[in-house]
Amino acid sequence: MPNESEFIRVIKESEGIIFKIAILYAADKDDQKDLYQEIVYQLWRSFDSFRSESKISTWIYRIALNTSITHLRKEKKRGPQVGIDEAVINRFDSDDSFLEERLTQLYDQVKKLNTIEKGIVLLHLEGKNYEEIAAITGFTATNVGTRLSRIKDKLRSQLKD
Amino acid sequence: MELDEMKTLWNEMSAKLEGQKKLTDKMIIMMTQERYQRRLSKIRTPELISAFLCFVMVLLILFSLNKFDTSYLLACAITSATILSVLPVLSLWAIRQVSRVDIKGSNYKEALLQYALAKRRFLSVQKLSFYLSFVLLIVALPVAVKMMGGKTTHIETTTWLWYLPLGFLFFVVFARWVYRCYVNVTVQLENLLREIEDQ
Repeated sequence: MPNESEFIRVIKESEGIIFKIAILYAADKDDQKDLYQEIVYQLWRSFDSFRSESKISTWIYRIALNTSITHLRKEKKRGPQVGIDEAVINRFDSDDSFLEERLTQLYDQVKKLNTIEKGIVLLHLEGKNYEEIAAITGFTATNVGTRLSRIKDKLRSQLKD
Repeated sequence: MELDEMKTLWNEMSAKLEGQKKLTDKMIIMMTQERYQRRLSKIRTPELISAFLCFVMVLLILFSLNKFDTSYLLACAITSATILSVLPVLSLWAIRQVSRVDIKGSNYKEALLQYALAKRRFLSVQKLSFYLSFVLLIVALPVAVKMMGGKTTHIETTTWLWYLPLGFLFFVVFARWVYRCYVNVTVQLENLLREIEDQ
């Protein structure tokens, strides 16, 4: 295994990011668990190739988003999953039901966007600026700006529907 | 919900998540090991079983070539063997293409592009396989009858009476379903490709 303790530290620091990506790209709880695990696995596979030229968070977003694109729902039917606790996916307890309800609305709206828009909006919600989004997605900063403005319009029209 | 409102809510969630560290060292190691084991044993059983059956059928046909005493039967046998050899190779190749997206070396745009193109190739192969299967449905009958000890080159009329209409009906129903799925996925893929290139 690549530098095990370093990898564990990185994953622990980024567990929130992985959770948020899994929740937006997966269809249901089982699928979320499966995608979460697949992202951790892909990060582990790519960990040796990470060079400090880019920020670790940029690298994590890249791998996690690319994994989500190619993630196949059928995978979960290929055998039981071990090693992932329910608590990793079920983050909010009953006290947070109002927050969870509003978050469900948010997820539903974002899930209606196409794959490119979903990636860009996720990074925008994560507080990334245009240049950072451009570095992760490969689109130009100007293009990211244009797309975000279209996404805003789209979200508004979703509200009217 | 407007984007700014979403951002506020997202920050609230992020702050909560920051305060909850659920992953343990053991869980992380188990996740990677379990996935690794699963990948190692990720022999695509259905595809491999189908490939093996096709291979056995091809061998059976080839070993019985001397039984096919007319050019019509011989042509059916060779066509059947060819289709049976091509189908599994096409299927395994197409699956391999989709799973070969470069996750670690690509950015989101490149990975999406690779995925969309591989999926398009996969769909074309599926379409081709589907038509080949229909040809196989027709040419395999006389071959099978002969191999199972049929003494004449002409299959009994009653066999054709149920086999062909049933096969045709199955093909029409299945073809319509495949065509609809194909059109839907192709439209989605074309939209995705257009979106990627949109500057």
